[in-house]
Amino acid sequence: MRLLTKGLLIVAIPGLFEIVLLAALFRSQADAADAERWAAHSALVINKAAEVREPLLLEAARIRNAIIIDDPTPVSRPELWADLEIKLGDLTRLVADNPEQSSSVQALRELVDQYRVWADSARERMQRGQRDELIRQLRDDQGPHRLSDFLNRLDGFLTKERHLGSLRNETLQSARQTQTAWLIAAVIGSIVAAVLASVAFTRSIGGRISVLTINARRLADGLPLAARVGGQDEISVLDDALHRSSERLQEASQQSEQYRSQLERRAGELSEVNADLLQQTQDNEMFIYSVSHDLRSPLVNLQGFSKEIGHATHDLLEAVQALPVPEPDKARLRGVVEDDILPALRFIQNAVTRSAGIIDSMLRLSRAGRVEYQPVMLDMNVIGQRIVAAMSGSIRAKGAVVEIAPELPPAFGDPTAIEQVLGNLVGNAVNYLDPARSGHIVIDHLRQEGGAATGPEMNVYVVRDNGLGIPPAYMHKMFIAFQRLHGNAAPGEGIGLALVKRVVERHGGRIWVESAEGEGSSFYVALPARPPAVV
Amino acid sequence: MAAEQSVNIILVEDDDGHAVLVEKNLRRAGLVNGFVRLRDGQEALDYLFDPQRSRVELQQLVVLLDVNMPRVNGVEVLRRLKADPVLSAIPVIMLTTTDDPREIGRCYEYGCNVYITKPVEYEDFIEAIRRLGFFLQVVKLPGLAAAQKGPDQQ
Repeated sequence: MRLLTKGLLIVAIPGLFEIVLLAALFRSQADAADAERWAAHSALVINKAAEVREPLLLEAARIRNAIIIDDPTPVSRPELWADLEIKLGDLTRLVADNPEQSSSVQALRELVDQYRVWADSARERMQRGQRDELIRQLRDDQGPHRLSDFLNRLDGFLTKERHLGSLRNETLQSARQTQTAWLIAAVIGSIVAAVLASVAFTRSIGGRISVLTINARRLADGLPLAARVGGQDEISVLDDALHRSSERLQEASQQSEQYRSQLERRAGELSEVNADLLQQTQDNEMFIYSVSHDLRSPLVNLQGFSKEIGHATHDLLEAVQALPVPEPDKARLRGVVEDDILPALRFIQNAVTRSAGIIDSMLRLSRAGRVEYQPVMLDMNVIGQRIVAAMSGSIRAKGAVVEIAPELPPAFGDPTAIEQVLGNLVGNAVNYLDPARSGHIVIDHLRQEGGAATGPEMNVYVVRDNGLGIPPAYMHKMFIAFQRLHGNAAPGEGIGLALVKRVVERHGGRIWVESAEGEGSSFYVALPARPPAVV
Repeated sequence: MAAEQSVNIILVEDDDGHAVLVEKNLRRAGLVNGFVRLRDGQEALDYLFDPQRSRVELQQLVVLLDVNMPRVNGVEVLRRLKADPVLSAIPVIMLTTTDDPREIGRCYEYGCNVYITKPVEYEDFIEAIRRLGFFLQVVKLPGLAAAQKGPDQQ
């Protein structure tokens, strides 16, 4: 049943009850008023009856009087009978509801008529001088001149009317009692109806709504819900919805638990892999370190003894010169030394020097992963100026211009390492200029427009040049060790950018390059803008 | 210089080539000191801790010590030397190819007197040895000074 229907019932049924009670009350009130009217009615009838009796008695006295004074004028005046007629008419009307009383009144009327006839005859006789006859008649106990019948009849009428009156009073009393009873019943009934209505409301609606409220609150807090409320109205529909929501919530939270544990597992795996990689990198660097170090020792021997051979050969030459041998033979010996031995030795020595250089580079590269940094907040403007000052000689020699943008933001890093990075980039730019135009190199930083690429805590610096540029085929090799692009433009082993990349990455930053061949290159370095937050 | 007694040089080096190069160049620099070549750390320990060795002889020594050697390496020899009350006075010069700052720091911690890196470039190598030679010609050790003053003042 719908809530509205229930509500209407809860209001309507007691209301109906009240209406019935009220109707009964009004009814009993009407009854009481009726009874009162009827009670008053009897009194009226009695009065009216008296009003009929008095004129007649008066008329009887008048007639006697008239006979005594022998004056017939006041006897049987028509006004009297007219008046009596009216009064009898009223009486008739008043008792019209009671046939017994009506016939009594009718009898009374006939008696009055009879008396009127006698009164008329009495007057006639007196007018005719038959006064003595009249007196004689008057002395007679019986006869129409006596009103005894009339009076008896009237008494009987009055007694009856009084009886009716007391009956009606009784009716009135009981009507009044009924009215009171209905009033009390109405009050009590109203109270009871109100109590019942509120009980019905509480049981059917109020209690269930409070359960619903509790459920809603529990749902919001994620607690289990109470048992379902019964019924088939909107409240049970709401309750259904709440229980369904609770179930969905549980499912969702279970799922999210699953996802979370999956995520944790993956994160765990990820950090394991990271640790592995870190370990591998370190192992690799240790390996490179020990191998390159061990390679130095034989190189010392190679170089040393090739030089010794050189010395010995010179001694040989001198000894040859001192020999007492013909000049052509001396020249031939000299030729062997100078044309064969010495050049061969030079090649060997150059190769050894080259090897030593490579080993040094490898050692430096592996050390870049192992050296301990002491990071501080760095003034990049100062570092830039120091680098330019240190390179001023070669910058001027190449006819280039190096410009440092004003107000470079500070970065957080090891001073030596970062100077090395910047110095390497600027050095590259100076070394690989395009001979077709004068070199213009800029050290700048990117103003952040949504730092999605580098993260919110990074400052991005850029070294731009208008040099030779990098062909697309080589872009991916830029930061790999020993891959030299312009091998002859400048001396070096080709590890500069690999070193720089390692240093930048150890600082938690990134390095990348954009370039157009024949136009120039831009090297971007992202570095932390401030020390990492301590958790 | 000739009238004074000069130090004797102990070279502890496993690589024959290096040993030859060092001795040759020391001699070329004019070094006339006594020269002993030992091949590894164990031989060095045996030589220096030999109970037969006289105190006077020990006090005239300078040790040129390579680091990477089989059996017992140079750092261990250094540590043992500097831990011994008598031998700790002997100057020890580390002469090795390693230029790892951590290694250098460790050797100085153990008490080496000088650390020299052998460069691959021969010219630099020769120069380094020559200067070492000059240094060794003029170096004075406490034992020597005492010996020159006279035995009764030791």
